[in-house]
Amino acid sequence: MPVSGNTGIVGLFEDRRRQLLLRGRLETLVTLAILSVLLLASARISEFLSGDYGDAPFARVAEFLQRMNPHLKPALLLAGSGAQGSVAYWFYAFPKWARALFISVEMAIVATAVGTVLAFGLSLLMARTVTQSTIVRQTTRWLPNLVRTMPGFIFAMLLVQAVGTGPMAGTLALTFTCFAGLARPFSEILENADVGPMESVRAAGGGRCAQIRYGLLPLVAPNMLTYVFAWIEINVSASTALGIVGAGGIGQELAGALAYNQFDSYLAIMIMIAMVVVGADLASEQIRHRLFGLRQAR
Amino acid sequence: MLELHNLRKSFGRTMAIDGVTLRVERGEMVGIIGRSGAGKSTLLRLINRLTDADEGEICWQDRDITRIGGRALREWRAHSAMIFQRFNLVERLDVVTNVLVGCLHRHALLPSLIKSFPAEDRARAILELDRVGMADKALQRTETLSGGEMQRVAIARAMMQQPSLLLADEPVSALDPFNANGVMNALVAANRERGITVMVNTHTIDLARTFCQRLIGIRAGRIVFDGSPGQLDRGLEAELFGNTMLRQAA
Amino acid sequence: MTAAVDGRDVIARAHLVAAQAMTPRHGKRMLRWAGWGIGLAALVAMGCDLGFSSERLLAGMLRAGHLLTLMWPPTSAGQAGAVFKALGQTIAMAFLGTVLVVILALPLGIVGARTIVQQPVIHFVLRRLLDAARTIPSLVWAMILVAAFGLGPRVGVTAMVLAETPYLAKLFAETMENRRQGVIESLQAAGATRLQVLRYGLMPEVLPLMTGKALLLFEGNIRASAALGLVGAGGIGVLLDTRIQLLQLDQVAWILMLFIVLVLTIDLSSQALRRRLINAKSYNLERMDADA
Repeated sequence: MPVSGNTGIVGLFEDRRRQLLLRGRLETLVTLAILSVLLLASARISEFLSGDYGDAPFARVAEFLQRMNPHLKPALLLAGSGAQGSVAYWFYAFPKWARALFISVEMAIVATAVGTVLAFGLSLLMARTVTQSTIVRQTTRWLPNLVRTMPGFIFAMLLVQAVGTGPMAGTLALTFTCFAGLARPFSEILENADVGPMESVRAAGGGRCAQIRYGLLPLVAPNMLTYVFAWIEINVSASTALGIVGAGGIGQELAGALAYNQFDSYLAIMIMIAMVVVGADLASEQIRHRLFGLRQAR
Repeated sequence: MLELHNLRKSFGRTMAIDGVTLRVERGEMVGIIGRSGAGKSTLLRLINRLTDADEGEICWQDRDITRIGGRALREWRAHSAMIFQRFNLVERLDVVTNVLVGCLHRHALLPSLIKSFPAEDRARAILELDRVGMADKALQRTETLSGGEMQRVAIARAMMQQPSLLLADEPVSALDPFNANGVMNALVAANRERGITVMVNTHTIDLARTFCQRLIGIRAGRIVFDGSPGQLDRGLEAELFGNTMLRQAA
Repeated sequence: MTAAVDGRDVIARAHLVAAQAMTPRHGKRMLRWAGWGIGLAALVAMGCDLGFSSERLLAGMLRAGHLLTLMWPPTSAGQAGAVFKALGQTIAMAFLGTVLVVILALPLGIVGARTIVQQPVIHFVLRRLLDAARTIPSLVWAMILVAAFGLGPRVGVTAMVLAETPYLAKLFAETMENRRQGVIESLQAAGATRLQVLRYGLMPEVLPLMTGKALLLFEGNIRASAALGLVGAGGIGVLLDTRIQLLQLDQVAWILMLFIVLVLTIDLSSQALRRRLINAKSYNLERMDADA
């Protein structure tokens, strides 16, 4: 196939290509330069580069791992809690910790449930497809964004001052963050939903409520549920840490273990947290599968 | 030429291809017709080995390609270019890079990983694009193109592979009639001007009739018709496509 | 009357055609109502277990109102310097943490993606490990690291890296698994090798998405690193904690305002960046017809 044929077209292309390549390379270079500067600055500020790692930092890491080690003895693994080296000795406060974990999970569930309902209500006001009034939409839009800028801890700390220590403060804090976190995705789902079904209900003579109930909800429910399930997992993870500020749950046990320098207990609680969260993930996956299976039939 | 001998392929309990024996001479333009699900796609995909047959042989120029693998397989695939119903271009890459994909098989790993193609290949890509009227969009992102334009780019890419065989799997089913015509004409040009053997799948009989000299009718994985468009009569058409949508009232 | 007869006739004929659809499914409906009822009851029970009660809620609201009045007017109390320094530390920790997490999560994500490593056993084991490692929030890591290695932002960054690498790795792996089968096949059909298929078929789609997720991670990390300060791992957390305990809420309000402005700025810029990543850039060869 003759290449020299239409050099005009090819030439024009090559010129343009060179231009674009140059511009692209320049952009990449500038971006890399900015990133490097930012990286060095942040490394400096967070003291990663200040060099003072103390003496024998790796030895300290090894020592740290040693302190977490429960020193299990294979022969005594299944012995009672009095025997040093058994699993029971390692998890000596298991009932107390299990109860605290249970509270953490309860916190997450209640927070997610209430947060979902509130977020759904607000999202109806926020969505273009449901609310015509621009004023209402604009005023409700800033609320979740504002709440989302703050980490849940701030809420937890303030709420502890308001309602006292204990899981109530933590649950309320989680509810706020969950509500703010879900409102935006919900409103986006509502806005991106196909208006067709709603319009056909309207054409058949249905009022606003009927339109939403029959034309919108079935469409958006699965998408919304995906986000709700994601938030359940987030909340379970977050609730375990909230206890540190006194907001209830396993966090307080963690702080307690450290107060007595019981690193192996800390490890034990971390393992329990891991198992619970993994369990929650698996459970939510199962529920999701079954729910979506049912939805098909509907 | 291409020879298929007693091909069989099933997916689970469905027998997609049930004993197909076929011979296609060099330079033919063959239209494969049949209902959706009759096995047309599977047939083409068996030829370029995107799917592997359970039984049977495929030979090109007396060379058995049924079980080849590795480098030989990649060269066979380059040799037997395919275009798809949904175009299947890489949408985030620009048009000319999509065309250059057609010469990937000839390039070593390293340069192809950094998208470094020799100037001669780039020039050929532009010229192929020009032949389908897409040269001015060469540096555009493919996702900005319309369906018809994307299929034309796909054809340019196929030509880039310098194939002897072109497999077109329902190339115009997703296009409007105007664009469909354009694409089919491009296929005819490839067949007449470059002597490429073309096998086109379609479920629109009229399209096949207009552009192909030979029609192969497939039903339930078997060839039930093989001849010229003139030989295909109403009765055979009905047998190929059937009609179960409306029950006769009383 | 003919109307009544027609009514029964219609029902009778419907039964003949599709008996199943006509049978009232009382059982299923009752089950659904019962389900909702049990759920609600469980929720209330859990609420009580958590210590919710109307008296506490009321008292809490009153006290919250009181606290809100304490927040006005927000004042810096001459500590602006310390606050800015702490905020700077928070951002620096978040940035460094994000970069480190991305660097570590990339190889993990690649190996964990079913598209790249097809070995089912390796895939399964790796993904389960990632799931387990994901469960510990950064604060939990931070507490024990501070107890072991002392205070400072270094510890905070380490805690973030430990907590979030598995999370990002999983996101990366999932992004790489959601590829379009058709495009992959067409590349194979053109005779490309496996690596070439990944390079041309997977990377162009996946890279912008992953960068977007990294940006989202950065946004989240700013909030996370603010919290880490609570346990002494650097950043704004410790400043907030002391002031809240001392009920110096006007200073808290000032710090929070700064923090919100900071976070909003970063969120908006990150959003703009992400939109730019996904947008189509179209370049036209102008005046192609200039030549004969």
